Amino acid sequence: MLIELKSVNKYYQNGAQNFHVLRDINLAIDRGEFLSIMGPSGAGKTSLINLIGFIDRQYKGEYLFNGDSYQKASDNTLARIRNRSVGFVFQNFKLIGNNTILENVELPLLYGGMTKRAAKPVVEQALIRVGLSNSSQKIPSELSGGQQQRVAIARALVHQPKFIIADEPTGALDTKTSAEIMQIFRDLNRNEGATIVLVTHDPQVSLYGDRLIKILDGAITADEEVTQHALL
Amino acid sequence: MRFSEIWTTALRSILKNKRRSILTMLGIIIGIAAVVTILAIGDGFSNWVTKSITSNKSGKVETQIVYMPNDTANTSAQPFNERDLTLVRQVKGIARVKQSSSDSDYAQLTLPVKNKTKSVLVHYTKGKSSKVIAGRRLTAMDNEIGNQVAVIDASLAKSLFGGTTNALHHGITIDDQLYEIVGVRSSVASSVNFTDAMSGQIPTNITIPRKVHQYYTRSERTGDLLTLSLTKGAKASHVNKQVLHILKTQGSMRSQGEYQSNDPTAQADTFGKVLNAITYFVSAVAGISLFIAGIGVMNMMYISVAERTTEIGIRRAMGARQQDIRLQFLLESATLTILGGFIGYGLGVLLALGVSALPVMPFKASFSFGGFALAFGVSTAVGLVFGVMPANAASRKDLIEIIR
Ligand SMILES: Nc1ncnc2c1ncn2[C@@H]1O[C@H](COP(=O)(O)OP(=O)(O)OP(=O)(O)O)[C@@H](O)[C@H]1O
Ligand SMILES: [Mg+2]
Repeated sequence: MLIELKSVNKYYQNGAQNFHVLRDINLAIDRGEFLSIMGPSGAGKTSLINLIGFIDRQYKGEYLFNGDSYQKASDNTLARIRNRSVGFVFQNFKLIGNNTILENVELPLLYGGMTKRAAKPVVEQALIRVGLSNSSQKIPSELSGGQQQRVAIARALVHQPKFIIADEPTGALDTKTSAEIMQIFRDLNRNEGATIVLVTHDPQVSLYGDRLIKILDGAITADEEVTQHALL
Repeated sequence: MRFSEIWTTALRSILKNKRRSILTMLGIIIGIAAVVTILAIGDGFSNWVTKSITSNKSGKVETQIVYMPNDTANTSAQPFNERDLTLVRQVKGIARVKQSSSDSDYAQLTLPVKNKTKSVLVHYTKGKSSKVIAGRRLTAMDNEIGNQVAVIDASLAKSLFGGTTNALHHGITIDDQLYEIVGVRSSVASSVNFTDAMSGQIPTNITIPRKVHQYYTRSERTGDLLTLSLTKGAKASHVNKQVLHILKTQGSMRSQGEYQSNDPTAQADTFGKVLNAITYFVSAVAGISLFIAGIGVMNMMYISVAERTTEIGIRRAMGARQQDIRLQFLLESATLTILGGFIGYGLGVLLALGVSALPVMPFKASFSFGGFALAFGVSTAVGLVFGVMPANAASRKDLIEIIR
């Protein structure tokens, strides 16, 4: 198993109140899976994937990644594992506005120890893969929302992570652009065997994956195969 | 991330915020420029001083030690014997010791005038005396052949002989020797004029040939003057002090007289002290300017950290370690101040050149590597010291809080 959560519980401390955001989560994700997570707003989806993506380690229970727990690992170890193993696509793109597309996408490579010179062709390749050739010198504000999300996806896959986490990647996009973006994810999964964990509100979007889990009030209420795939 | 890539990132983010960066750099620029200017002028000054006090034949700094006997009558003993000279030679910083005789060109003597004693100023001249109103001047020839002749001033002539022309060809006793009065000059005011004194032309009551005077007084002052040639870098005042100390405690004639020193660098030293005071003042102002500039840098870095919280979160999510973030912001603030330091150095050089181009300045500013290193070091230090806290704040931001 690539990812294994066993009886994971998470609480947010709000002053004197303890908010129970994840309730007894048991979840196993294998290499090459395309998993969609659905649930109403406030259900705890972002909390769950932050935990999986090594951004958050304030939880109870066990999270094994490749069989190892990183709950007590040092900050440097976590930074390294984020850099080597995780590709993030955030809900609102989260590109560095002052930097060019090239500078944004090369970040995981540079933090992995590559030089700018060595990173450049790899970045160009990733941009071609998401259909954005010839825009590496632009800055994010010169691009449309759909194009910015493509940049974010390029950044998430450029360093060939073990898995990609995407938090509502189509939340801010229209239906047509959403479909194009989802197509990229599906190609990544089908053609290159990338493991993808994708959060969405949109039932239509969830049909691109192979497996769907539903979350309500911090607990998993359903975990099923997606049989009726979205129309290609 | 590699150091060079972090630095590139830092430099780019400074250049992206040009106006704010320049405003923040202003204090550094002013502070560094002030320090560089005053250093260059100070160095130029001390070069000039060294050159002007070493402009004797040997090209070395020389100082003098003179022995003054308490009782001028007792002149049997030598002022300095071999042992004294050996002792002096052993003092560190002395290259050569030359023994000679002091004899001042001027002396204050007392003369009996109408049953009273009168104090008169005597000049022992090698050449011409100043203009006379009666008789003739002294000439270089008088000195060469040792004519026992004198020129006195009108008021002295009047009180001694009742008139200017009456005085001519009378005798006058100076230092127990009789001189013939051959000329009378105009009256000498009792107070000595400063500018005359500086140009070496002090009007005196009596002028006599120097050689004649030396001939009679030789025994008194033979060998009472030591001229010390200093090694390069030795400080005259310091050497003098040591030599005086040795002579006062071990000198052969310490009980019969006093040893005194004459430091040719003393005047330059007082001038240098004034310059030093100015240097300290400018440095203090520059220091305050740099401190305030540092606070400005810190403020700007805090603002920058706050503005770029999302960027920090993104970088952390992409695998930046805490130390990568800290280094990025630290390099950003150091690069900013180093840039300011370079600009300030350039400005300081221009200012110093401008100042030394002024017609009143007798010397040129001098630029040393030390000045450059100081500018570079100080600006780097300001950037690092005042950048540490914002950089730490940036690196300690909680990833969960900023990625939401
Ligand atoms: N740092 C926090 N401190 C306190 N409460 C929090 C914190 N983060 C999230 N919560 C709360 O936890 C709950 C779950 O939040 P989460 O962001 O995981 O929901 P979500 O399923 O991603 O919702 P959405 O679909 O709107 O993004 C919410 O009620 C939220 O208010
Ligand atoms: Mg969310």
